Amino acid sequence: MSNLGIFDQTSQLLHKVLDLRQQNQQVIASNIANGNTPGYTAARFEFAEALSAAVGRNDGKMAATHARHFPLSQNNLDQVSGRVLRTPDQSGVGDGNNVSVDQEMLNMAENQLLYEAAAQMLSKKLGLLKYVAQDGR
Amino acid sequence: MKDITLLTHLQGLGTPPARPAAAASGPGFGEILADTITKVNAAQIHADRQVEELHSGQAKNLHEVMISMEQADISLRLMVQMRNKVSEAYHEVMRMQV
Repeated sequence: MSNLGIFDQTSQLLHKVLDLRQQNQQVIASNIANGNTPGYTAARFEFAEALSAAVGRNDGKMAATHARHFPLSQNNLDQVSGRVLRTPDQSGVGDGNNVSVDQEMLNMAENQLLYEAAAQMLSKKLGLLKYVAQDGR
Repeated sequence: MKDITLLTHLQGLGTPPARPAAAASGPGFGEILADTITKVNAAQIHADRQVEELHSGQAKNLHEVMISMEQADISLRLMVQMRNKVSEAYHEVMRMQV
């Protein structure tokens, strides 16, 4: 974002959340699209922990005790990227495809809800800044 | 018995009897303003914190986050309008003929 210094960390966080939720949407969509592909393993997109580490609220997690220790996680919001996890089907039944379309639809609904919430929150925060910048008019 | 001569009446009309300066009870305007600004800031910080918690998966209550954002929004708007009033009053006094 801008370097004017008026956009706080929360705006940047919301910006990042929108990026990540969009990627999550693509992962879920590809799971649904491959719902009938034999041998396909459903993918999960995880970013919550990286995000929480980047905003410095990793309560109870490992902490660096010295300034020159290697960082245990990315501490910069710009560098946060989610990771795609795949856990192959271990049941040995069926064609090796472990996509549950119902579960994916549920994940998609949740993702969509939180995307819209993040969009609304960012819009509200920026609207407030705009309001102040215009002297309350 | 009060004597009702012209002189006492004139004296009564003159400078009002000096009252002891009313002891300032309660906080002054400046303190109230500072307190309000602190509270508005706290509301903003609280809302930001809740947004962070929601999006990093530590909280699942969307409604509370939206409510605190709305409260932060309204309190900031109120503060901006108070600032506008103060600034308007200052300009009014500045334009006043003496």
